[in-house]
Amino acid sequence: MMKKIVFINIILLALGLASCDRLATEVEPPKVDAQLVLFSFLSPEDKNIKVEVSRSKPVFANTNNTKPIDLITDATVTITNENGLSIQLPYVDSANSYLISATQFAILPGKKYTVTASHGDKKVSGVCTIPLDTVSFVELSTRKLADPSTSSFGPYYLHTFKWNDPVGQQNFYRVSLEDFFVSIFIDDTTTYVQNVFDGMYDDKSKDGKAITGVYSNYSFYGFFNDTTQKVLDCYLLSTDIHYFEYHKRRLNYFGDDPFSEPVQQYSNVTGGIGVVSAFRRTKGKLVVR
Amino acid sequence: MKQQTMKYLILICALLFVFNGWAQQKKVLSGYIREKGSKELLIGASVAVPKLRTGTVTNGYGFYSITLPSDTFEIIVSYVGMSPKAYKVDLRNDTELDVELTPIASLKEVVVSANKQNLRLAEQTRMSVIEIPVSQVKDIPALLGEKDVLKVIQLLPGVQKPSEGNSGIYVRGGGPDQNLIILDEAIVYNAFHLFGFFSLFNGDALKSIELTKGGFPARYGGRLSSVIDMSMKEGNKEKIKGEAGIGIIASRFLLEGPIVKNKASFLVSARRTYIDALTMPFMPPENKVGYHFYDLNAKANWEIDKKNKVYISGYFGRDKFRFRSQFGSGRDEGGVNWGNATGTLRWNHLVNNRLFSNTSFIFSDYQFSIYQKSLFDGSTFELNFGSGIRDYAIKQDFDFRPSANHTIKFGAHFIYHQFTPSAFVLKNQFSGEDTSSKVLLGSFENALYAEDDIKIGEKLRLNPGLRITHFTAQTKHYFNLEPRINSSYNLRSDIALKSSFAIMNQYVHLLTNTGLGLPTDLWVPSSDRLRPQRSWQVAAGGAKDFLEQNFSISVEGYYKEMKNIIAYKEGASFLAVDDGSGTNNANADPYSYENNITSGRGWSYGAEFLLQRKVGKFTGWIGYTLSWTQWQFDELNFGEKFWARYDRRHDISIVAIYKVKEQKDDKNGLTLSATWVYGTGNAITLPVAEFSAPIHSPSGNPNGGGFFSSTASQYTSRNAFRMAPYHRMDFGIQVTRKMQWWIRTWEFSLYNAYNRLNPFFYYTSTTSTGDVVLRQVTLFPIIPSLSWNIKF
Repeated sequence: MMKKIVFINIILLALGLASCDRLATEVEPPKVDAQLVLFSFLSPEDKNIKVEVSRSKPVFANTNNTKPIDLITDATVTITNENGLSIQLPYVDSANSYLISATQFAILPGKKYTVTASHGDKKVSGVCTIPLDTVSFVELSTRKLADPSTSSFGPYYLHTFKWNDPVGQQNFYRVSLEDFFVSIFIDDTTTYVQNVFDGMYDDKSKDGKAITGVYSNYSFYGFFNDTTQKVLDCYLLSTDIHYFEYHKRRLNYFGDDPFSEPVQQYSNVTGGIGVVSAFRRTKGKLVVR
Repeated sequence: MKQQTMKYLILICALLFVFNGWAQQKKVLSGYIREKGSKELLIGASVAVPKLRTGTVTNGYGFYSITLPSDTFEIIVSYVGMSPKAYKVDLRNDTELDVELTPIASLKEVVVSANKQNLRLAEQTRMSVIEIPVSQVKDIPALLGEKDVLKVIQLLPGVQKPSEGNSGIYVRGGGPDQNLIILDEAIVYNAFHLFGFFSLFNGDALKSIELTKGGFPARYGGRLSSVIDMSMKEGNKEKIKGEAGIGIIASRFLLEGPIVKNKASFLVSARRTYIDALTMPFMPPENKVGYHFYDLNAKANWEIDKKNKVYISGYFGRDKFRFRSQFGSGRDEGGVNWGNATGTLRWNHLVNNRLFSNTSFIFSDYQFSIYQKSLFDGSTFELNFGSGIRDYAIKQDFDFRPSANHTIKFGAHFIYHQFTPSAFVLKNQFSGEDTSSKVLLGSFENALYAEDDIKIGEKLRLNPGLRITHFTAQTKHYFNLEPRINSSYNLRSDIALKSSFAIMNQYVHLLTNTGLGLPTDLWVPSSDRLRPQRSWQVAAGGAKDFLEQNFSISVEGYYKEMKNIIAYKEGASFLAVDDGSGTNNANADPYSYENNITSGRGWSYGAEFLLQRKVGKFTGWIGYTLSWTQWQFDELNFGEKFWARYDRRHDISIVAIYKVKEQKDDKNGLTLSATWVYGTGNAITLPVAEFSAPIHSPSGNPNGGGFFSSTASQYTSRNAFRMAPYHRMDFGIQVTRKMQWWIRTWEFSLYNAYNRLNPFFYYTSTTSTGDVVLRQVTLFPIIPSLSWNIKF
């Protein structure tokens, strides 16, 4: 009896699944038009003022002959200060952006700036205010917690970053640890930047207090000889809310996959998408022994 | 808080004392009600006293007690599907009356009116409660012929299913972790087999199934949205009986019988799938992949004497997915195993004829593990990762019936939860690595409760209750009061207006973003940072019985608010497995999973309609739900409210079972059944565009004011896109015949009879011409199946 039932069921299942080729059907997707995309991160500490203008690519469209990033090189891009003084930025091929030297247009602490881009009948703009003060680290330290002989992952390090939050205002921060290396696999001369750690912080419920960030890792230094002294650049950025909200999400986005929650990117650009934001920067050295 | 707790205990004791003194003037009629033949105790059987227009029902262990004036009464005892019995009782002294009811061969249209007592919705104080007859579960057509309790619950109003074929339960806007699923007092943490396509409840072994969606009695707690309370059968006390079935993917059997006739009995049931056994021979010997699951239910009970009964019951189930490949001198193998084990030891003790006590010792365990083992050139690589939750619990429940107008339940529950967010072992002979780590978290969850079902006059019934809960979390202790009340006012004997209010707290949380019952779903405790989930719900409605036609109608409206509900943060991956690298040092944080989750609020409101017919040749129900569910998380969707994924504006279920011919003696039985369901499509988030989204380089390199060039997706706002609506019709035919030794049933069922291509998930795809299109994947087209069952 068992054999009979199983045999009949296999036939029935085969009949049922015979229409499998119909199981993926096309459905009507949500439609959007291409939009202008505007990005600029302004700081008195930067040598240049840089603006990137591009065009978004609707997902549900024809993808033939399209580049990964659809940069717009013939837009009219201007930056205007709160006194109405403005300057147009030319497109610079080598930077893939609209670029001028900071000496041509002053980016000053506490001032408001508007960045505008026009292309055809489309116009986008974003506004930001430069944070008044820079904030510096009061402590930068590294501790080795695990001996490589007891761990399969190499030595285990805990890095601590500490700074004091200015009282009486809402503050946002980014701590970034960058390393530079020369790739022997490419040309043995060009220096590349490797972002080792990024952390976004705000002073919610910590106004005027010391803020501490920690970062621990196993593997990064595990590949180096343990006696080597390594010095890493550590940046503390005091940012406006737009820089903070954008990077908080952006740094947490590693591409789309069906097993991760979608990340909605922040935008403060009217008429399109993107971010016009501001920051102040200080730098420290982190010594790893 | 301790003082407050003591006050409540003193109040309860004082009430008991008062009732006890007052009840001395009256006489008590008490006893057990059983099914004749099997001696199975009947839950919810009715004991009516027509002369006084009063009555009571049996508790979860078949016990009843009613206090009446000293007089002579006619007592009518009834239960759905059984012939009622009438007794004349001279109640000059306290009297014990045990009753055995005989099953009616057919659930006939004509039943004596007393038997309809059980059918009366208008007579019940509680609302938002639906009892599902196990017999109906067996008659409803099912996917691949596998009868599934949770899929039948999905057909009830107020319950939403997640997606095609999935057994997940979403009740009144609540998440999949907000359902308290209880099997013989033990909490079941992962109720699914085969990634959610089947539930682990084998209908053959179940005696009763009850779903509560709101107006929760104080005896239940620990979850926000629903209680699914299931009891296993005890086992036939008179003779050996059995059932067996062969289906398209699984076979099962059940055996029950006496250990000591009329004193002790046992029940064993088992089920196993054989997809692996069928497909394995067709795979190449060097590459084998297999999957199977099995269930084992067992129960034994012993009636020590009139006042003491002991039950021991358990469930054990495992899902096993494995692969093995061979290459040259090497071998790779691995797999994923997960499953539940529960065990309950209960002692029923009749303290006196008004006070019934049940003491339960409960064990519940859910474990998940994933492993890989490689062998090459005599060296091995072994990786094991596991997670799980284990409960040890003691429950002490009392059922006190001081008068015909009061049914008081009170008790205390103590649970020790042991969470294992991660356990990791790595042995690598290639590199000499040998690492292991295990994170264990322990929490106590305790509760005291008391509730009273009160009749005030002829028309008004109240069920007020209070639950006091306590949970230990890291350094914090959470104490919460949970007041509950149900009320029912009879406009006429067959029409009642009802209302309810309940506050619930939930101290354990499920990290999942699919609700698909994936084995990687992780249960975690509330902590200093992760606060308990909390909800309050108010509901109001009415019930009308049509006694002559044997059906009832209920209409309910509800509003529920939830806070501290959890969700994964944007970008968090739910398939990420912690490799343990951060756990074997002094500074590792066992609560690190909290970094991936965020807390928010939820609102759910709507209306439900249910027309149900439990008795007769033609039975079934029509359910309709109109509902809205919104969530708000500060860290999701820019803090804006959004529709929950399973927000379902319209949900319709029609279930019809028609017994054309009842199997009797040598006559064949024939049962036809059909279901039709419709549901608004799920709310999902889709990418609509891609754009340049550079990451700023703080160092200003390269090129000064540097950008790390990259792209990102632009999405619709969260869950702003609706998938296509879901609808499906199933048919079933059962032909039953008495053979020499057994009764045989052939069942043919047709799942998705009109071959509706329902959406399972959407994905983007590029055509040969370069157009990117949105495609919908359908899981199940029309699927016929055949199964063969016997009963002896």
